Amino acid sequence: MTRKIIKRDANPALERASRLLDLVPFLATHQGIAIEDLAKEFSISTSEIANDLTTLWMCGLPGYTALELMDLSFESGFVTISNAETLARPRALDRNEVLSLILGLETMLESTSSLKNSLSEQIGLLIEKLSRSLDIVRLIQAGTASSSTIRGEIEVSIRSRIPIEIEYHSATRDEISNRVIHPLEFISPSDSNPHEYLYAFCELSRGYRTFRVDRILKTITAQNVQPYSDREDTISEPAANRANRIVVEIASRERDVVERFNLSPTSLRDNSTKEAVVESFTPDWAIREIMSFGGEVALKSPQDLRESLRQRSLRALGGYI
Amino acid sequence: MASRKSERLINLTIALLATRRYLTKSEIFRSIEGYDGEPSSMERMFERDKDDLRNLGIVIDVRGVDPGFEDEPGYRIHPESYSLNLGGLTGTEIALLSLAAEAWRGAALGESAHSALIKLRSLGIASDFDALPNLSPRVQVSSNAFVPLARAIGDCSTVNFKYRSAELNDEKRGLNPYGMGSRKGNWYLIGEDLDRKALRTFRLDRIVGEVEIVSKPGAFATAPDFQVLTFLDSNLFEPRDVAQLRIRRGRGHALRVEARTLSSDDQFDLCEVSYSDEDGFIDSILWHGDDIVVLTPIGLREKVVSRLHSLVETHG
Repeated sequence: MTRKIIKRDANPALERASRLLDLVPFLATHQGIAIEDLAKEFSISTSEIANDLTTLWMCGLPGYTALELMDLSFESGFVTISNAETLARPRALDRNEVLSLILGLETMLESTSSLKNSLSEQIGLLIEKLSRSLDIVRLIQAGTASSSTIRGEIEVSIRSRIPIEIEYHSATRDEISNRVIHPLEFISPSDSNPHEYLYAFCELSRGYRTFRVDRILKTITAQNVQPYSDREDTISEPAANRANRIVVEIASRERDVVERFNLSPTSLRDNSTKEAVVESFTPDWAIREIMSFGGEVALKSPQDLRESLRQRSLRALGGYI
Repeated sequence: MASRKSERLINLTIALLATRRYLTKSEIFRSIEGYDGEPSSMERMFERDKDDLRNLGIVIDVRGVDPGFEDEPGYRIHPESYSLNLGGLTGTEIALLSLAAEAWRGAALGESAHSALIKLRSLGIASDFDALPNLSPRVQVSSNAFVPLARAIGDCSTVNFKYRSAELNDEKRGLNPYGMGSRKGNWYLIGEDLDRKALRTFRLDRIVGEVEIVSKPGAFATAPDFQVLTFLDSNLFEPRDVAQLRIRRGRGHALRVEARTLSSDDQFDLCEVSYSDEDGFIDSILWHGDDIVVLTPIGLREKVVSRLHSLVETHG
């Protein structure tokens, strides 16, 4: 017995009814709101909002005379509502709405606990309040995420256009560096890459760079920032050159290879030789990743990288003599 | 048409909310705008409307109006069940809840978070952001599986999905989903695997294609003391062993997060690092090349050495 997933918005009349019910309490506490602002709040067009308001204007208590109908006025471009007491309280939150708020609060807990004790306590109490009637709070939980406080400081920097200094762990080179950046935007995780990145102009490398948000260890207010020229020599940024085409042969652990090198699973599944081409701007990183497979993945070419992987393995073995 | 139907649903909601007694069907048909036509078609209309309101999460209370006439049920919506009631909320709390909703911008529950925010703002309580530090939370969920799984977990419904195996095959799995949670940047799904008849853990990003809900709600019962993060911590992330490592100074930052430094010389720090998954730990040690030397446990040390030999051989 297969039941198709019923999406709530698959039914336009119902979706609209849901919005109409939410419009009334919103208007009751936002009397005189401009019709354009109202459309923006509900993420629909102004003509759709005008339609909604016209419909609401026909609704009310049985009898449906001027005494019972809701009274809306919006000809002036500003909306007011009256005689709408029955619907004036916002509707209870549905399960997904509660879940979204709880998980959002949970991601804040970690970073606020180190910050201000009363705040994380307050968040804990809110979660309790929201979850009172719902079992789901113990079944779906968000653990540690990238720090809400670090993201908050970066948001401020994006809005104010004041550069910010970050302490960044470059996993590619296993180095921690401090750099002044001008953050431009966050890049959301996607199917092909589950991590969130920050796109910024980096003073240290004098270029646009992407930073993995969860590897930004600290933010430092911009006042103490040294001019970029003073710290030019603290770290050598590899010149952005062409991507290396590295051919690897895979003996096992195909899924790990696909995930770490961000390959398409089909490319590997459909070839019998178990060879794959990895593109990398940083050969050092590619060598480290291949080494982590401990011989299950072999670097076939280019020859010079293959040799440097061998040398590096021999050096590592040297530590055990 | 859609407009007439929405209008009727609103009028029905208003009438059932405003009434202090239960309304019978004939009263509803007589008094509420929008019900017309043959009795049988009004009947069908009303049945659909009730279902629709329930799909919106509105609880309609049904009760026999007159004990003498059991076939004449009455209907009403209780204002307490209809409306949002979180007790008194402060401006700071409204600000925190707004941030929590913002955390979903563009992510799986984005639409629900948006409608939740509209409802909260309809309470007319001014939010007090000044009381908060600069916070910008972000829930990291990119998988399409999240929304249907959340629904199945809440309803206790069985699901089917395809899962990418370690050898890259897409295997069909049937599961009674107990819960899901995130740790170290990944979302995990836990449930009873129906083919293997055992508890299994899955990573959401390894689910391929759509999650299908294949049973009615209530197909199984989740243990009343099941806590998803507690389960994950004790099954996947509980430290199993402690290793002593020599880590080159200024290197090995990823491992140092969980490390305790015992002593240092001019080149290396002697550190104690606990680990849960030995294979993953070996991967990470090998990644660091000659910046890390394993001292103990001896079994771990031997595995690392043997893999380094294998690396030299395969690249000879």
